[in-house]
Amino acid sequence: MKKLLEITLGIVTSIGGFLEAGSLATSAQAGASFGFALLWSIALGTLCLIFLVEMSGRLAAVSRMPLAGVLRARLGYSFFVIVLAAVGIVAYLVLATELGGVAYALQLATGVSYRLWALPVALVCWLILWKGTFGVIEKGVSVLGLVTVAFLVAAVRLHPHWSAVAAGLVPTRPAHQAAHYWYLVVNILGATIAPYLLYFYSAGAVEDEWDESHLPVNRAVAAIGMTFGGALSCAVVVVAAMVLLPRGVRVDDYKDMATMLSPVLGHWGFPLFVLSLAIACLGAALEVALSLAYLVAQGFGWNWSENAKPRTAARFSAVYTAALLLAPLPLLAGVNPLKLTNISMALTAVSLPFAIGPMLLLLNDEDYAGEHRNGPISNLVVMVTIALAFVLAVVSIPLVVVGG
Amino acid sequence: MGRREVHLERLLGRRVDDVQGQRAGRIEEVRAVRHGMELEVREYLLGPAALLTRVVRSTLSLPLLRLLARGPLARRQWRVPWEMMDLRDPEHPRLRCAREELRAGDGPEEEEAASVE
Amino acid sequence: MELARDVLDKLLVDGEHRPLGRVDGLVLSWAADEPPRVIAIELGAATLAQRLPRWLGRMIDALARRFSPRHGEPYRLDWERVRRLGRREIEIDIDGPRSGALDTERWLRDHVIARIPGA
Repeated sequence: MKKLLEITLGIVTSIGGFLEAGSLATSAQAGASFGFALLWSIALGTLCLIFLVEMSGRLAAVSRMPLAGVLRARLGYSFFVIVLAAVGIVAYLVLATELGGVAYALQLATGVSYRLWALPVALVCWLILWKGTFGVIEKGVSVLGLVTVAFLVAAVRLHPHWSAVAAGLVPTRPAHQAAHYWYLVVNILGATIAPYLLYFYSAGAVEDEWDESHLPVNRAVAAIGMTFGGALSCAVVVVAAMVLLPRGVRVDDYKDMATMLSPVLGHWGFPLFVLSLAIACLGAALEVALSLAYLVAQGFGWNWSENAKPRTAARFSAVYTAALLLAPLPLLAGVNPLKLTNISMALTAVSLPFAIGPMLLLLNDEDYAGEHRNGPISNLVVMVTIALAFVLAVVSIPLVVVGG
Repeated sequence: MGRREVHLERLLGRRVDDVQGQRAGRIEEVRAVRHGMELEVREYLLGPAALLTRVVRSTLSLPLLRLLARGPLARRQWRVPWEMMDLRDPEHPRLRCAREELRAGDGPEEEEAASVE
Repeated sequence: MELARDVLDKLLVDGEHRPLGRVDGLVLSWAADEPPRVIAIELGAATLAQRLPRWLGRMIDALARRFSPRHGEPYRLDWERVRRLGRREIEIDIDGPRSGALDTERWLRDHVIARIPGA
């Protein structure tokens, strides 16, 4: 019974926490430009994510150590520093992106520029981290995040030809704008396979004191939660394809997407969009800031816990404080939030080999994963994912230049 | 001669020359024996296979790595007994013998590695 | 026992299981005609800086000298203090919160974090 509750809560958490600035924006861009044609990239990304999240949860449950800790202990300092640099830089940009998403939602709601909202939003995030506990942040924000189910409702009420939607799940070559198409593929995969999520999830498993008995919970949450989360991303594509594409809207700014729910949900459409954007991005901002603090603190062996008072984990709290202090800078400088989103997602794709590569070694390690080491299927998937990550890393920057 | 000190983490990756000034390989691992809590250095491992064992030995359930660990690269590991390593200048460790005199392979843990199936 | 694989970079905890840091460095020492023995664990930014590419290490070392409460002095733990050599962590017989290993943590807590309301 208790496990069932845990599974349900975990699934709700993954669904409510799935959408964020990157997945919302890239899905809307994909639908507006290419209809259902890019759905396959969300499905592919979600499939990779399911396996990676399951693996990071399993490693934490079996070793009782968070991912960053195992990484440093097993592969050494030199390697850890490379991962820290790659994931750290990207996490900073994604944090700025998510703050930008919240700030832009507030601009849509109030008419006051996102540049003025950047600092207050960062302050609110910081306050939540400073005063909140892991459970409150993870569960609370994610439950609020269920408002994003509005996209699923809208997609269903638009009555798409489901056969056409299903056809979008099969990869096809684009008929036009090939560079932009592949650019969006990279963006979507970067947004879906978010490396920070792995550190967040595994630290959460340690915070919640998972052990081997949680492995079924872990599997269910990863598979079911992430599948529904991916379905939400797909719903955004469907809505954009059926609302924005026929009207010839090209999404170059968050305001271009702001009315996408209105034709279906009437006067509820706009507030639901604004609320979805604000809450999804707020939740993601908290997760990213925490992930960064987890990564640094665990790698250097500092005391860390979001459940403890800041004074008992001073260096840990200092990391997220500093991150939130610096993250508003690009927004204050006037960088367009959607541009920032696209840049962050493309760079996330570049960082993927560093973030995912080690998973193959760590999940096959007798000392840490023990008898719960990867089986052949997980290994095959993670190897394919790593190969994919290398391809993405190589093509990402050139595609930003020609397709962005 | 008084006591000398060297940092293990700074030895890792250092190139070692032999007594004739020829390259013998890089230090990738230091093997010690344990007496109670005390750790006494027994030998230094040089060469790419030493790095390989350090990183993947507990990961040999992965067929790809098992292949790598058994393949031709696996022989590129040399063992330097502690008394053959001159660490008076830790930045430039030197062998007290010729590199041809070094034993190759994995030594004491060979049986253990072979038993991983 | 392989020192790089089994000891270096492992988590250090005190008797109460509080984290102290990681094995950032290992000091070997010997007298003439004796095999080297592990005599100490080092931890801290200065030790870690030495493990980075030279230009980056120098930069971090300079920063540590200027700003860290230990002025870039690495912290040494005598090897005799090791109580347990686990596969995943190493237990040290020491009172963590009062030890020099947590100088930076304490400094940051007292001078910055604890001064912010709600800490």
